[in-house]
Order: sequence, then C-alpha cells, then structure tokens
Amino acid sequence: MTRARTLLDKIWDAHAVVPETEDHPAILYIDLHLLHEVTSHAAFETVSKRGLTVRRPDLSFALCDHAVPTRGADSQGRLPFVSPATETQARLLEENCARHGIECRGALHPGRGIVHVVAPELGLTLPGSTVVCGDSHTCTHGAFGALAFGIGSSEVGYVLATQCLLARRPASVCVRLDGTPEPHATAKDIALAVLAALREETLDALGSFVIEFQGPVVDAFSMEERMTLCNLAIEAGARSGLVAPDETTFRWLDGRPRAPRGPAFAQAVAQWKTLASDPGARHARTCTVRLEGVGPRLTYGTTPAENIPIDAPSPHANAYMSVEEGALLLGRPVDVVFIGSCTNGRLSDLRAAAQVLKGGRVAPGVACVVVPGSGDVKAAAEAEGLHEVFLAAGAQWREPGCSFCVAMNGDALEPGQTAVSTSNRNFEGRQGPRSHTFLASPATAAACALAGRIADPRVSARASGGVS
Amino acid sequence: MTSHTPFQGRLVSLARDDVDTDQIYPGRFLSVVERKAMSAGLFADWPENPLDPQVSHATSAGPAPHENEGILLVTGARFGSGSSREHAVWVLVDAGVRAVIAPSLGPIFRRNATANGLLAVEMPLESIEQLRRHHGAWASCDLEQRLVKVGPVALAFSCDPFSLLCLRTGTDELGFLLRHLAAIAAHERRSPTGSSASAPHHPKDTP
Repeated sequence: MTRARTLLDKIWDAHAVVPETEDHPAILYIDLHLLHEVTSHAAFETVSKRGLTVRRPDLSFALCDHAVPTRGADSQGRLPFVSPATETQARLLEENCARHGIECRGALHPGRGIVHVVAPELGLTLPGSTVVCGDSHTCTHGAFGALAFGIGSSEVGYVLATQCLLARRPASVCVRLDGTPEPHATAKDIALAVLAALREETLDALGSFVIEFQGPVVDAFSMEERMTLCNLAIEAGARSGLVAPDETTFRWLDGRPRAPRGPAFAQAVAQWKTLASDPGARHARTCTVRLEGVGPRLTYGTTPAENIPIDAPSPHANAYMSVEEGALLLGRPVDVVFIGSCTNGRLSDLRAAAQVLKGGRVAPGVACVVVPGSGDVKAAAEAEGLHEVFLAAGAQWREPGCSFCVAMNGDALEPGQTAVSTSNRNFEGRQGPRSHTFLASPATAAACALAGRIADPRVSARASGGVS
Repeated sequence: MTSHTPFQGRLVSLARDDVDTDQIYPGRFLSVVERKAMSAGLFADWPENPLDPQVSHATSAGPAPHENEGILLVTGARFGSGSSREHAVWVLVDAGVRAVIAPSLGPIFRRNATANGLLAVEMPLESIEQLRRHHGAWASCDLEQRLVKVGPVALAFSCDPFSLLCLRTGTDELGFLLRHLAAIAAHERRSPTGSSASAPHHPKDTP
C-alpha cells in the first residue's frame, strides 16, 4: 500500500472485517470489550432474548465502578450501597458475567476500580487495538495508540454477540501541541487549555472525528498524563483521542500482567513501532494549540471547554454557576473537593495532590475526598504513605470507584453546594441537582481544599517555599 | 422495531445549545433497570419538562396537542453530548420524540438514536432557525427525500443512508452483523488472538 496513512487509517484498515460502502458502514472487529454495571444489563438481556451467546468472553473484562460505594465493607462484609437498585446492578453484572464466562471484578474484589484505570494498568489496552466500553470516557485508552471509544447499551449487545460494531471511518484531526507551558501546568491544565482552544475550530462540522495529539509536549508526557489528555477528547466532541505509541508506551507495558510477555513482547513492540501517521499523511484538519502561558486552569461555565487561567476574569456570564462576566473565580467559597476519577485518579495524580496537602489542613467546613482509581493505585499510594498525608491534612481516603464524578453511588453534592473536582464534567447538576462544579487539576483542587476557596496552587507552592 | 414512514409530530423547539445527556437523564436515575420506570428521569432537574405537551403548547400558536402524538424536537448545537447513557434516547422515545433535529449531535447519542428508531439529523443553523419559527405546528420528516416539512417549508437534512434504511424498514443492526458471521470468523482466523496486532491474553485471576 503506497498511500500515506494516518495512525487512525492503520488501525481502521486492520480491523475492518467488511469494508464500508456508501450503503452500509464497515464491520469493525473489537479486540477488547470492557464492561461495567450500569450499561451492560440491557445488553445481556438482548443477548438472552435473541437466543445468542457471548462470542468472545476471552476478549471481555468487567468491573463494578460507577455505582460501587467508596466506603468499605462493614464487619459482615456488606458494602454500603446507596440504594437496593445500585446493589442489584452490581449483583446483575457478576451474575451476567458468570453465566457467560466473562472475567469480572465485582464490588468486593480487591483489584476493582475504574474501568479506564484498571485496564491500562493490567496491560489489557494495547497499541493498534480496538477497545470499546459502554462509557464515553473510553477515549482514555487512545493514549496507548488504540482506537478506543464509548458506545451505548445496544452496541454493547452487538459486541457481546458478534465482537463487532457497525461504524464509518471517522475523520482524523491532527492537534499539535506546541510551545512550552508554565512550569506549574499539569496534563489536566494543558488538556483544559486544548479544549478551550478547539472550541474556536468548529470541528463539529466534520461529523465523526478522532483527534491525534502530536508534538513535543505529548512526547514528553508519561502514560498517565497521556491518559488525562485523551480522557477529555470526548469533551471536544471527538469520538476519541489518539497518541502514537513510543518507548514510553512500551516501557509502561513491559511486564504488565496481561500484556504479551517474553519473546512475544519483543515481537509485539516491533509491530507497534509501525503505528504512527506516515510522513505526508493527510488529516481532515490540522490544528496547532500554542501552550505558552498555559498554567493552572479552572472551568467557569457548565461545559469542560469553558475554562480559563485560574487567576483570570470570566469572559462570559454563567447564571447557573453564579459567575458574572468579568468576575474573578479566585476566592469563591468551596464546600467539597473531589480528587479522583478516570481523568485524575492515578498514582501521579495522588502524588501531586499530596505534595500540596502535605503539612497543611483542609479548611474547616470543607470535605476533601480522595478516591484512588483502583486497588493497585490504592496499594501503591499507601506504600508511599500518601494516605497518611491525606488523613493528616483532614482529607478522606476512600475505596476505588467513580464516586463524585458521576455521583450515583451516594457520593454527591447537596443542592447549592460547590465543588472543585478533578473529574471531567461540570454540566449543570452533574454532581447533584443544583450543585456547582469547577473542574481543575489535582494540585489546584488540593490548594482549594486548604484555602476553603478557589485558590491558585502557585500561591500555595510559593507560601510553602516551593518545595514539599 | 416498527417502521415509521414518514416521521410525523408536533414540532417542539428547544432553543438551547449543549443539552447534554446529563440534562436529559441525570446520573442518579442510572440505577433504574426497568424501562417503564425511567420516564421519571426525563429532564428531571429542569424546572419544566420541555416535552410535556402542556409546557410546549403554552408557548405555541398551534392547535391543542392530541394524546400520544409524536414530537419532532428542534434544538441547539451538540444535543446529546457527554455521557454515552442510552437511557437518554429511551426516555425521549418513550415521551413520543420521533426525530431530533440539531446543528450538531453528540457522537454517541447519534449512534444510540439509530439503534432505537429515533431519527437524529443535523441541519445548518439557518434551517434550524427557520424551523424554530414553526414551534407548535405539525411537521413531518420524509426519509426518502430527506426533507423536514412544516407548513410551506421543506428543508433538507443529511443522514447516513444506512441509518435511514434501518429507520425506514425497521432493519436491525444486530441482524446485519449476524448475517456476516463467516466474515467475522475469517478475520479471527487471520489474527488468531482476535486482532492484527498482538491482542491481550487473559489468564483468569487466581483466587
């Protein structure tokens, strides 16, 4: 094949079982199907009703994450589910998976966690593969150079029954991140800045598109930072995000329990090295986002793209958030700080939060809740003593789960409360009816917890001498 | 799934951008597994449900709504963006929405709509603005000609031909996939672990 292909093309071409025509979409083979308790039951019911079976239980992996409590089990081993309905959902996932031979980490499994944290840490997500899940933040796995996207419950059913989906090739949009951001800018701040910049690009007109992130800043990102960046691709209206795999990716995967091992690993790496957009490959659009001056950021509105430098005045009014045009966000009182989620619930995120909280105290009246993204993250954090930092500062240290992000497990805001959250959505009422969400990085969120108000983490760092 | 040709109903204008699936169906209702009980979640956190005939009729000059009549929802940019929850489509369909017409749609919402017989199409902003003026009037979508018709106005929309075929004929995407099992099996034989790259192997957890 002499045509210069994008990374998206290469993955697509390798998985189109039946190519697309004008009359019908392609049939796309799915290498990894991740499942969780909220969007799978309807799909399993469809499979049952139509007398079908799960085609590839060996390519499926399930976790309880959305509605699982983040407080531990009692002395009888019972978890404090917020409702009988959520407990039923968790039980149904385990039953459905047991019936079909699908590996499932249920609500009490020590290795449970958020699906987009656990699968990568196990080495389940591999470069060049297709990954789907009934969850919009499946785009997170694009950090590995995998084509990974969210689907609805009906499509979960199609994948269970056939290991395939109907899909048309999305457009590839190349987003180059250029320039050097401020020293305190984290991957979350950069990702928020990218969302703000892409708002101006009218990418909606492309219909379905995947963003390939390129540039020296992306190259220098760790895998966890790349996951934070790709996690937010959906918030730009993209189907997914992609980062071409490289040595950073291979080092992450080397030795992971479910990744290829031994000679198979070396073979796989040789193949993965071909997974990059060819020189001269044409993307449908190419955008450059300049990162000079990008530092800690905060959302001011009710979509993730509506974000600004944390010390800037709001460019627009937002009645729901009680933000006036020209108003500063700094100094606004905060009730809850949530550190966690598939965006920022990994070890590097917890280290960043601990660095700010160390030696300080969460302001009176503020609940600072730290939720590790998985059992492995929790264990690693505890081995480093991070939990002691959180507890000494007066923060809460919880069990893994989606928690305050989707706020369906009892971790939710009361009406009228304000949270600074390291998650990915600040939609109206997302964290509870009539609640207000400001999205931020773990370091920023920790600074806000200490101040009890929207606070600039750079000021915190300067006040503590800049080092912890 | 029954076929609907053409899609007809009362045109309801919801002139707001960024109506995400959290607005349509808030997260705390995601624990409901019985379809009939889900309607309680539809726009549950809004002061008014814009699809309630009492609400939509109050601002229209059209005739009083009939019971069980369909709705053609004309709305703003990025309708259905955000969470993949298919519940958002289910509750719209159960409330009588037969078509959603917007300048742009959330990518997962667009797919979920096709899977449930809900016509979800994109039109240029100028066309949307023309349709808005007919809030409360009877409208129809012609799937063959790809036109939305209301009063004297007929406006073109774009939609994937396969999605239109599914909607017109009640063709089921899963049925289409199941007719291609031989091709799927051939792909699996070419790449035994299920993909052309090395796929993960899954030794089950040992207790």
